[in-house]
Amino acid sequence: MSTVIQCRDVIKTYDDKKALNGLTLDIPEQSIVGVLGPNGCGKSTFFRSLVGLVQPDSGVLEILNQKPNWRNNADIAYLPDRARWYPNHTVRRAFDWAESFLPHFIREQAEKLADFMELDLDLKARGMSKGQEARLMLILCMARDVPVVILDEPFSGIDVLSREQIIEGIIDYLHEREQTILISTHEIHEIEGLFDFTVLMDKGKAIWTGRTEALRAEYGSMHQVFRSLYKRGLEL
Amino acid sequence: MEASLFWKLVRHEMNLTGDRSKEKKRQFKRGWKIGYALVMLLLFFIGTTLLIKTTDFRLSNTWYFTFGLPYMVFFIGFGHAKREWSNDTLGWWLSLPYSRLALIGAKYVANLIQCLMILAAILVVGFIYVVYIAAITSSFNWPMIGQFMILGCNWMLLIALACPILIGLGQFLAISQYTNLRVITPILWFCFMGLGSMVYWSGGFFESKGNNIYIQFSGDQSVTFFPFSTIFIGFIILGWVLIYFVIRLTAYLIDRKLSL
Repeated sequence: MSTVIQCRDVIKTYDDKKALNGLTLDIPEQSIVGVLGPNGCGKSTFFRSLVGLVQPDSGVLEILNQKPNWRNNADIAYLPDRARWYPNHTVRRAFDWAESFLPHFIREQAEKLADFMELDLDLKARGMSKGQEARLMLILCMARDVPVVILDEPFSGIDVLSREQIIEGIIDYLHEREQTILISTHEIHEIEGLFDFTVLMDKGKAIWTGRTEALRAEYGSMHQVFRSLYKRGLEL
Repeated sequence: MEASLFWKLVRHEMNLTGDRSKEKKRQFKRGWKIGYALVMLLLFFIGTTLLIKTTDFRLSNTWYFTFGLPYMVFFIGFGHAKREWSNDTLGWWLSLPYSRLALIGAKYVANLIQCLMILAAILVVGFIYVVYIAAITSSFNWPMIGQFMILGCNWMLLIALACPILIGLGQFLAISQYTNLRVITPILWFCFMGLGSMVYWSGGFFESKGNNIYIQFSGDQSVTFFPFSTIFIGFIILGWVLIYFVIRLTAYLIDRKLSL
């Protein structure tokens, strides 16, 4: 299987802190990838590097066989970490915006998802709950027919009901598409069944990458994986 | 990038309203804000009427009320760029598949159009105001109204010519705070605010020596249309050229030097 993302010794430093510290990994195409790890392990910096929001200090980083750049973003749907939506936009206007500016955005798909996730098209972002806003932003990514989808903490700060609704939406959607989907999350117990490839990160490095089945075979459940790999002090 | 797409970006920028960082502070709805603005305008009309009827207030002094306009233009550029951070929409904005120059350029053009529209609106209000004053007082005449409007046009023209520079500097300052250049932003604030003072006090902007916009508003000097010196025009053109490079530098900063 060919790779869609290649990383070799990527380093990104903020002041004295190394957000990425020699990150090396390969991500196969058409897989659902869980990028997991504790807060501050470099997940978001890795994702931001993939869409060219930040530039690595050194190393080789390629996505879709190119160095990350703004042109490449036409083929990447990216949900940023801690993002909000434009407060004066309604759902409908957000879809208008996406139709204008996001290549390969499929409006019918977005409206179907909005209906499924119970999002009123006339609802304004300013008046939305966190869960509704998260659903809107997720729809803007999922309604794009692009080879790579990157979701950075799509469930952060969202209540259980909204989270379940979003996950149901993702599962439903995943069956219809052939994309590489990267998801970083802390809600692993609810979504771990989705991942067929897992990247475990710590202190800016990938400490384990591979098929999720192999990870489970070695350590048991994801919860057990976390206990074994992180609490033990990373004796790998 | 296609021109139609660029103009769509400009339209999106022009329609952007709301700042989440101020949402908790602002408890008013839009209707209230418009209501307050109208009340302020009404008070302004009443206040100036009383001043003119009871004191030796000169009509041209009214333009002092617009003294802060260059700063307003600067902060429109500053605030609009900063809003991507304060609204947490930065990730969406910068992951769009368009060059950074196109993204920042769309903001720039949108702000420019908005500022020019504000300046034009002020002139219209100024005209309504002066006609109203002429109607309620016997001492005002048409030449006086003409002088008032010429002075207003000169002032708005001066700001309009400076708009491209002020907006570009505002954007640059807002964005540099989030890049590797943030250590020098206090110096940039000091320099830019000092530059603003020059607009008010520099007599070199006007053809007649010892003149400046403050003296013009006092009504002590006769007013001619477009009184600006060639030095001023030269500075403006130089400023436009320099601001083009500042915009490119801003685009470079958000492309390569963002500190997220």
